[in-house]
Amino acid sequence: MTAPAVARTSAADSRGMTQKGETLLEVKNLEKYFPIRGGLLSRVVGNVKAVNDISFKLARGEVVGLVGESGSGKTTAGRAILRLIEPTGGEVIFNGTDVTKLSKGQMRDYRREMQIIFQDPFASLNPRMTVSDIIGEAMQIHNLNPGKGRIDRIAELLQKVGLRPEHMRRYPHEFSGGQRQRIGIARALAVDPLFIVADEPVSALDVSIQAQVVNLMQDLQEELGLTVLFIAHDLAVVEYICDRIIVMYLGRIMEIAPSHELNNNPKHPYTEALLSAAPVPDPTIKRQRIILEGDIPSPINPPSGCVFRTRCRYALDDCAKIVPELREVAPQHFKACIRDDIL
Amino acid sequence: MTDHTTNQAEVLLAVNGLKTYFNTDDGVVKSVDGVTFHIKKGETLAVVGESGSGKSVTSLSVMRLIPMPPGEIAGGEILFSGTDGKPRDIVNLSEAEMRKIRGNDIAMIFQEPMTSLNPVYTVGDQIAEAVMLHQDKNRKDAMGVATDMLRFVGIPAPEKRVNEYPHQMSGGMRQRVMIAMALSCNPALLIADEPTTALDVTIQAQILDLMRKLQKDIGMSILFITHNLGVVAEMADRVVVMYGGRVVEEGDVIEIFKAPRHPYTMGLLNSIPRPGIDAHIPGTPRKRLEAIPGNVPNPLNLPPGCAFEPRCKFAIPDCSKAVPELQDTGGGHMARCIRWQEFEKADQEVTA
Repeated sequence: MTAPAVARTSAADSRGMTQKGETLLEVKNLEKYFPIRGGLLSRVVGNVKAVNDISFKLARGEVVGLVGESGSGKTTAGRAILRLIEPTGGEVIFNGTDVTKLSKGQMRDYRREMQIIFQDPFASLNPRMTVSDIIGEAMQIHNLNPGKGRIDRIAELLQKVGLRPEHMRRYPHEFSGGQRQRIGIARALAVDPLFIVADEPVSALDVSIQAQVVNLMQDLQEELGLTVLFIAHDLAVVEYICDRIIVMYLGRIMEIAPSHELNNNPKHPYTEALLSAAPVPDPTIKRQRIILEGDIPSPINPPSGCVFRTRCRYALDDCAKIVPELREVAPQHFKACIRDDIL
Repeated sequence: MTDHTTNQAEVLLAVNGLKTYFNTDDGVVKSVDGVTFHIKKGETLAVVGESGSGKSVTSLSVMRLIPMPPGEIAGGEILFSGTDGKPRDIVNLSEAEMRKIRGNDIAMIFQEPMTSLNPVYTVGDQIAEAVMLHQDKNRKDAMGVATDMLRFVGIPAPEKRVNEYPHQMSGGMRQRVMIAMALSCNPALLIADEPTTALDVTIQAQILDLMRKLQKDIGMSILFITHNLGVVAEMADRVVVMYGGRVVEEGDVIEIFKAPRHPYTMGLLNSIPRPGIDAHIPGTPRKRLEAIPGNVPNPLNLPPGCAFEPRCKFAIPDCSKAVPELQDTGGGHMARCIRWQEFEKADQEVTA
């Protein structure tokens, strides 16, 4: 890989601080409320509690899945961590610094280390910019690889993601969905980040193309030692690519566990239902399915106590009274449920 | 191998050599190019394919919902056996005759329940409209049917919900409304075009469960269009795999999953991680998915021979010479590949 041409900024100097396996990112009591305004004076009449007090850690080089259904707050959480939307509470400690306290200018330096890959490869690339402009833009902002070096670096990145250097003069519309997602990945890698939020990077792609992009992400993660927060709703893909999985429901974390552990031994009733709901691509397996009743409740007025209790088949009276704490029930295995006599 | 000779009386829909073309400025797009399949009474047939495979155009052709122009049904027949049991060719029906069938004998549900419902009418009005049209009922009775249908598809408080507008409902609820509307006239065939793709997985499970229950009660046939192999495994009795506007494989669902004979089907099955089985275990080497290289072909510019040839790891020079025939590999299992016998042999050697 080409060495950065410019001395790294303060954020980047700390690169070597953490070793593989040490905590790179710690999310502490993160909160994102969207105010609802109403009435004559447009006063705040309520809040959408999109992300409600979530805490977790990511070790350096780790790939962690963040799963949940629509309205679970997974995408909001990913964006709040990068401050693409401003969190309303809590801390995001990246490499020892709470990035929520940084000024806009300071944050820009940190953005170099924290990148995002978006879900929709059709909406996330500017149609008026060539591929080299798209990939080069972030390098320009961070003043990386100036002059001829930049073109070389863009060519190298394109090859790394399975495209050809001559593609850099083309526009996004000339590419298929899978190729555009590769451009999105190259764009994220252009500034040589430590941490990537991948927000449903394969959901919009055809089945035969998904595997290409999953394999590519896996290769790049290993080669570059990236730390990845992989946001998705498809549990099979998440289990496959991630070391650990965080399960969210209605703005809160329900369970955190290593992938194989979560699958074989879910401890939270919601995880159990989610796993059971996923259709298995094998017609000889006929499973007894747990069908959750009803819909995910409104995040404006979430249920008291445990937010899942209204759809939980194990719910007790106490579940309405206590917000269950996320506690370690086995090594590396956390759940937010008051019942230990189930699952 | 006796049951593959289908009794004609059992066949509800037979599509023979269907060709649906679109005339565009850039040339003729052969979205559906000689597609043949049939659906028996009470059966669920899944049509699997990716974008551009022609699966949705096939279903829209059956409903005669292809915009003409630019579209045209350039060949083939779509034989539908109505209530009288006499097969009629949908392609040649007048628009007035077609209107009697559409929504009555053949109903359809779509992927996007929000855009398929009219936002300015209550859901009750929308269900009642079809009932008044096809069943000659007055408005009051039709609204009664609408309420019953909402109850039938598991919507709580149907008496209240019947007067609500689509925006007041969640995605899963709206899909239930779509199903209620589709089933309100007791169709013999339900076409479901990606009905759960836009839904969350727990809601998808509810809807699939509901569709299975309703099918058992009513005995209708379902033409299920999807790209999700998990959903196929769960719902289908038989499967048709489409690629580049043609059927590349057809067979019983277990045959398709356990003994695929077309490299595209094999590739699709190998490219998805299996829940539970392929979960990553820390400390072990990472597995790799078997990705299909390349891209879905451009329908304006299909390869001259087998459409899958440029992406196929088993391709040989003969593959690009002519479009392979759809061949019977035994027991009604069909494959459009000149090398299927070799795959069968390889399979037998592995199990032997």
